[in-house]
Amino acid sequence: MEERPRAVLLKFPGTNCDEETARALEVVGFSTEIVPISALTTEALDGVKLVMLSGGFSYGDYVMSGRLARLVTEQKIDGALKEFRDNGGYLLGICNGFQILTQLGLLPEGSLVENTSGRFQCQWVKMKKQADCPFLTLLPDEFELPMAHAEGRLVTMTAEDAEKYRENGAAAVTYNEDVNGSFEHIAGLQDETGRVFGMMPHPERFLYREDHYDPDWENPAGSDEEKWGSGYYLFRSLYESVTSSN
Amino acid sequence: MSDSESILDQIAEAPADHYRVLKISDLDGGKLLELSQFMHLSLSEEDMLAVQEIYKDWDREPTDVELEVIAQTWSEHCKHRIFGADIDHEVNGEKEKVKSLFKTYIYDVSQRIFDSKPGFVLSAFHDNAGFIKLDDNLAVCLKAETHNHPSAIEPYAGANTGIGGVVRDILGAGKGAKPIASLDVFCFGAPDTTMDNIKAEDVLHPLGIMRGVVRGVRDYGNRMGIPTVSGAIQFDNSYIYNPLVYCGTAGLIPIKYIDKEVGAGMKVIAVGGRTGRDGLHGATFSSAALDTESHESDQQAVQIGNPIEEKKAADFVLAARDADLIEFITDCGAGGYSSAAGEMLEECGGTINLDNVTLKEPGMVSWEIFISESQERMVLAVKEGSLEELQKLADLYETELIILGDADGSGILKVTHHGETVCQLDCSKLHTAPTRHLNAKWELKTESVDAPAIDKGGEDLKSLLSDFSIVSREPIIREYDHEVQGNTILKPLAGASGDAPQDASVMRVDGSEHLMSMSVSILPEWGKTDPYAMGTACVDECIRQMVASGADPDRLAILDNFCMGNPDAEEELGALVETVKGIAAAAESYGAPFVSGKDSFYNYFETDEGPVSIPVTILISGMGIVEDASHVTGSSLRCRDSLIVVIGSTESELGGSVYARQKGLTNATVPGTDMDAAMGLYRKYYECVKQGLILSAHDVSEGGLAVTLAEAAFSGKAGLEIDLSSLPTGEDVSVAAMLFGESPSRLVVEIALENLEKVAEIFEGQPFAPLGRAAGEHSNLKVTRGDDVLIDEPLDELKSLWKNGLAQYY
Amino acid sequence: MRKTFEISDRYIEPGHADELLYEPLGGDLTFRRTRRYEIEFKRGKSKLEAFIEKTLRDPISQELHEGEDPALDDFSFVLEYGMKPGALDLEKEAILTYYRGIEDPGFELKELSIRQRIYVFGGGSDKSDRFIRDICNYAIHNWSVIQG
Repeated sequence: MEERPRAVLLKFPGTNCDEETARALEVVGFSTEIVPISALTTEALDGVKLVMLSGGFSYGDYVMSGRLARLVTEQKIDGALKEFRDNGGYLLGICNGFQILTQLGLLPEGSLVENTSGRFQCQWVKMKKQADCPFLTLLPDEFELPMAHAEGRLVTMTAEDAEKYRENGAAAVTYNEDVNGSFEHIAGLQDETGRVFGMMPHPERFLYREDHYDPDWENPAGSDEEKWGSGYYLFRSLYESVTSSN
Repeated sequence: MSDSESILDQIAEAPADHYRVLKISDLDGGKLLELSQFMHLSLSEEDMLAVQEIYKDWDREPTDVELEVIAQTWSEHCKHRIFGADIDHEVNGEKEKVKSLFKTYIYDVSQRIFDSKPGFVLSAFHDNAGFIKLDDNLAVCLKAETHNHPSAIEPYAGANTGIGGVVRDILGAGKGAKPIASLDVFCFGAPDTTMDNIKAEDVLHPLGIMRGVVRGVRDYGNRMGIPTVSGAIQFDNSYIYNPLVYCGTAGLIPIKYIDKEVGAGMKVIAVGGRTGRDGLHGATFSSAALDTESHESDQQAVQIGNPIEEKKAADFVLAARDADLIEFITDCGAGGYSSAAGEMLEECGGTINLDNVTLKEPGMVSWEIFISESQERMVLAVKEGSLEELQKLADLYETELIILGDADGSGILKVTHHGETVCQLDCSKLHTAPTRHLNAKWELKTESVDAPAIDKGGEDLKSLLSDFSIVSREPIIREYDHEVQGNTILKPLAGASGDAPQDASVMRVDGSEHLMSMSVSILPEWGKTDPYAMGTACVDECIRQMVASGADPDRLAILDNFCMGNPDAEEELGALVETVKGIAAAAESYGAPFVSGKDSFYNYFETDEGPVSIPVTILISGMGIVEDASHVTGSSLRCRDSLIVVIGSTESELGGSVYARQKGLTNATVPGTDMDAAMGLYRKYYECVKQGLILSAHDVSEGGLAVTLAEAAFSGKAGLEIDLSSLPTGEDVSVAAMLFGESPSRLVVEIALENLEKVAEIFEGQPFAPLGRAAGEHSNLKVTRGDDVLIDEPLDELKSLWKNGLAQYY
Repeated sequence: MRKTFEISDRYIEPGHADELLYEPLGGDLTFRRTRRYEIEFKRGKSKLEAFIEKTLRDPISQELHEGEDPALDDFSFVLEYGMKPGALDLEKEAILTYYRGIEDPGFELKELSIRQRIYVFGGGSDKSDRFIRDICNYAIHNWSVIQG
């Protein structure tokens, strides 16, 4: 049997989407290990193809979302994640994971702040692909995912920075509407290598067709793929990118 | 009060700074009561005399630690003594004696159901939560608690410690269950209450309570990563002073981890948060009524939850369980270590060493440490040989582990501190509080009233859809992460547009083919005039919602959570007794056992204008097994040319309905529930579900048939053309009752045209009729009766009223 | 030594003050929130300042205002509140836990106090009691008002 590419999912105190995210990774073909941050060492990344940062509230996110998770990660393994990326590794951050990747400086400069509504928003959102991105290849141009966050509004130092991200493809995916006040409706960012991607909505929550709120949702990929939801294709795209880049 | 300060000093002998021996043997009843009040023990004179007797038998005096332990154990909160009381009850002039409401109407009824369904209920009443069998390997459990008094004083903190507490109940169920879904049910005053309608000082405005409570649930539940999927809110002025906050959580466990036992030689350990003075006197506090003074003086009782502390403890517990390192576990709730250790060591006995407890602040005395209810702590019994591995897991998940003591088989609970024994109690004595004797009385005062004529049905419908009891809960639901864990298949808001209401929620369960349905029902308006009918209807609605969602009607279990005002007032207790009889009758008819329950008393408040009690309020929450994902059925219209059928009979009674309240019909007769007939219908409905004949189904509840139809159509798929001419009804049913009456046991069901014959055949001889169709050609809700047009309104107008009703307040 | 500073958000627009109240006041009152930190420390001033920059302030979305005086101008009044002694302040807990985990911080943190500030703009300086009533709870908070 073919060996599965290995993924490591970092679990901070307060990380809470680890199990369903690990499930999604397993379903598309990864072999996934959940590693609590207390046990993280540089060596833990040896032979690993993907570092996954899942959703949750790392350390409660009381200071600022993702801030303490970043500082503790740096304490533990310093710049090892940058090195991991430079050596061809992939990093995916969902929701709190996106916030942490942003804090770690692994994504184009930006910050995820309180939604303009001032509320936590658990709802489904329609999104558009805006650039080629190894994490999105199998998704149609428009797709829908659930989101659930209070701090998902992407802001940049100046409004021009966000516009630039739209132009240069860093803003790989946008919301169709203004859902949380994100500059340029940005929902997710990728880095220059295309191997680091972060996004607020939760693909792991739409792994299966039955996860959709509408029982009559039709998979645009057709009836052969009836079982899957849009989130599946994100993880599967990632899997294919990881395995083909070997 | 004047010399109460001295009572403790008068009788205290102080062997050490950290504990005292109290000479109670010579005190008379009055002095004993004074002592109880001074120490905030919440024990009555009778209780204190019983304590005195126990110590006379033992021929010694108690320590302060022991008195605190007994008070905690006997307090209403812990032992539900009113549910165990002997009650002389009089209903409509007929006298009867009830020996223990719990035993007669909850326990015995459930035992009979367990016997009739062997292997279904795997554990009930003795553990933190009751378990039912999901499949050969897995079981699910559900527990609900109230956190009313703390939420009245500090809503945010009250709600977040409420949810934190019930989550720990689940973590402490069996050898540790995984929390997989939460429910939250609230009763508040109306959000538009004006300040001058609040007749007491320092009472928080209902809107402040609502916002605080919702944020408290949000900030704790979301951080714990438990989807909040089910809930309800009732608004009524009787809840202004005593809001009700019910928190419930469901758990999942491998069946092999349900049974647990403490044995001699095991180590007792604790994990999670530290112990502080912040958690003193919560258990006894919730057994006493609120008044303005309690808002000022009970600041000590307000704790704020720390969800990350609890999340770390939860991660530890589940990892330790999966490594089979846990022999026994329980939560540290009301009564703190004293009740956790008491529960754990009540048969086995053992020693707890308070010197090992890590404290938030120095200088705490023995009783403070032992009964402190500081949050986020779990207590476990483990094999000594497992300690090393457990410590590794604690380090891995960054939670603190302490060794509290040993279980030793002596049957004695011994507590040591600074090298001295500060408590030594025969555990078997701890759990036998004196039986209380109470009087109850209920008289049904309802009467049949003439139904108003319907001339502007559309206007009536609009005013119902804008009523606080019916408007969309969307602004609140969206603040809760209801999809974390990625298993919420039937979400609280769904349908084609993702924002239409659903009856029950359905959770996929990792590792099983089967799913779990959850629902709640709470109908306090009914109970004001007919508590028995409230009881039967609540059970019916809870069950009906789960059945509608695709659950097997023969694999359901329910919980009873009561709240009431003053149990010493005969009428109020009478209403409680009648409610209990109602839920018991319904549970037995439906074969849905109670597997857990809890009660909250003294929800009354001394206002400037006299005492205000809440109406007796019962929350029935339920869990049920959905056999297959293909059975999951939502409440929203799915197709354009489907048929709409109604199942169940519409009766004439309007009592308890939102319509009756809006029209000012007081004391109108409340509809009864024909439970056997209903169960027959549900089984037939399930037959249709299994054959794949049902597109959608919505239960008829608040607002009646018209509101149900509108809500189903809020998916935006089609308009509706409905004709009530063939509506199955009882005798003399008015048009008002057809449209807006709330007779139980009814479902509005959508089926495909080609399946009508099959479905009709299944329902042969039952109250069943096609009423109309989903209309592709317009998007109105049109309801006629023959040639009479009763309602013809654009659905988008109706939906916008319904959807925005609460948005302006939350 | 003591260090006092206030952190405000660059991108959060003022909200309507009625959102904070149980019964609307009407009118055009608006509000903004900031957080004020007071740190008592020993040794290593520059290390502490680096700690603050790294831990407490987001350079993209936040501004740091040094000193005692209010960070924002032209307000009607400021309601400052926070957890009273003995009530759990989760942000403070998180910061202290992180601080204790640093091997050699280079300074000694003696005390940390975090206060929330609500700036109210557009009049209503006599209405601060309403804001106190609806925002603060003596069961967990203490507070003060700064008039503009």
